[in-house]
Amino acid sequence: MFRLILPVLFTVGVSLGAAELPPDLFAATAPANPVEVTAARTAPQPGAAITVTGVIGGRTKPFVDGRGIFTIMDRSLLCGSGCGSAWSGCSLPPEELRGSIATVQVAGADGKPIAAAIEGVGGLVPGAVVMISGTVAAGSSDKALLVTAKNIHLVPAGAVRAH
Amino acid sequence: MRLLPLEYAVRNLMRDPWRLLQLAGGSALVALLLLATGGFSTGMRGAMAGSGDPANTILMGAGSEGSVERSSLDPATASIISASVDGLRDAAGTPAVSPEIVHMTLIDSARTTAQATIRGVTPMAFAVHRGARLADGSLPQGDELLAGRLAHRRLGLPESALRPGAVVRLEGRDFTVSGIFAAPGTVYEGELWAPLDALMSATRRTTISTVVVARGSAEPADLETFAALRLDLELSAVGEADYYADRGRFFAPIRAMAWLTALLIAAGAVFGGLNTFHAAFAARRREVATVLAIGFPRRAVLVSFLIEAALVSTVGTLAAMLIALLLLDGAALSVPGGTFTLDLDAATLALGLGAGLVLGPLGALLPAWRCLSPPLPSALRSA
Repeated sequence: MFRLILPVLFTVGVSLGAAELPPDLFAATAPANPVEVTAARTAPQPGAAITVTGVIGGRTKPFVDGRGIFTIMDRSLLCGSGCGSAWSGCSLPPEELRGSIATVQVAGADGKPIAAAIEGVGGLVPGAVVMISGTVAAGSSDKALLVTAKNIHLVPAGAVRAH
Repeated sequence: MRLLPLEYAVRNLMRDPWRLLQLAGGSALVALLLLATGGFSTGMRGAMAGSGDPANTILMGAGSEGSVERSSLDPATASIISASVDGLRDAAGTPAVSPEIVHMTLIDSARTTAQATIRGVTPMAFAVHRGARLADGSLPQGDELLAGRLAHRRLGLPESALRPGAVVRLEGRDFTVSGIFAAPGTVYEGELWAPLDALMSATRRTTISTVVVARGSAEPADLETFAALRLDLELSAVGEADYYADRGRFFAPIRAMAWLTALLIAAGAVFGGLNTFHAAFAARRREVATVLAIGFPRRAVLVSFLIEAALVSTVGTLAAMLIALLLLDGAALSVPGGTFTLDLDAATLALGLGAGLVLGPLGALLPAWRCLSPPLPSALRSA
């Protein structure tokens, strides 16, 4: 009995968790010509379209519980780590990490991150490589890049090149 | 079963006052040790748990989540948070946001030099650390500071050395104690609190350590979202209760070591008691054989022996509890990273009482068996 009920409950739970996320958020095909995070950070223009790729991380806790927001780190920094997970960037000097991370938000109508958990949805977990298509959010500068995501493409693990 | 009268056991105890003192003293030592260790463990855990308010979030430098002392933030962070995050608790018309410096330094007083934790604060600290209150004197201004109620213990000074009006020297500057603050059950009581600006100036710091925020209707995720949105500020948002719970886990090995030491000493005391009981019962082998010969069963004599042991351990345990309640409960203790008071709560007292009462009869069991096991004829002939 439980074998039948549990998958149903799990599916309902996942559906409820992702209920507020836009239905077309996840794209099956990769966007063309994504730029790496470090390159995208050089001169972001608020309101401009952007396609950026990176690894979910750059912080020990890249997701915020119950919010559609996470941080990504330049893939070139995904190297061996002596302090925990390689994606957290914890073994990197702060000055190196500082210019190579960006924030991705799934925004609501008010431009703020939506109140829906995004961690685990569609394979979004720390260390996953993603390509984000969207716009540069207001307030972004070469010191802090905030991308409002329109589409998120999850790069399959086998397709991630080794660094 | 026909039992021996209780006064037989009491009379036997009184036969050798020196042995009675030895046994009662051993029981008292074990109970006292367990009470002290329990009080230490409970006090330390309580201080860590009490220091973290579940309604507060600490914003600290990304990568410094394990220690506020290592954290470094732009001083403007506090005002940016006040202006950017909605729903923070209101404190006299402004959001309850407290920029703070946590600095370890050497303090020179007239009597000694010691390492102290000094916290640079604004009056808003009393709005976010709700347990803290001014107990004596006035709030500090300029080169003045507040001393926590237990700070003198931390510094190894008499209480009078940190009374209002006393002067301590830190970072080459004299600071006058303007008052005493209390923050019961927290690690703050072992700290010194100085005005943020004065401490920044004295330590030549251009950054602050943390911003402590009282959330009000804002959720923890709102502060985490703020930290993720403002990567330029390089912030990490950690629940204050979670932070101090982590700090408490850091002290777990110290607590484990204290328990191990206490248990080893207790085991040594049990073996000592075992030896003393053995000597006491062996000397009475012939007398016991006589008691058996007049018709008392072995079990009755065994019960009498155990009552004897229980009585002596009760005397010792009660003496230990009295000493502990008079001298240990509330006594301040300082370890690297915090000062706290020993807390003899109900569970600790029950542990001390239970252990004291059980260990006596337990230590007497084997000697009693050895005394009662020889056949009656040979026991009657024994010297």
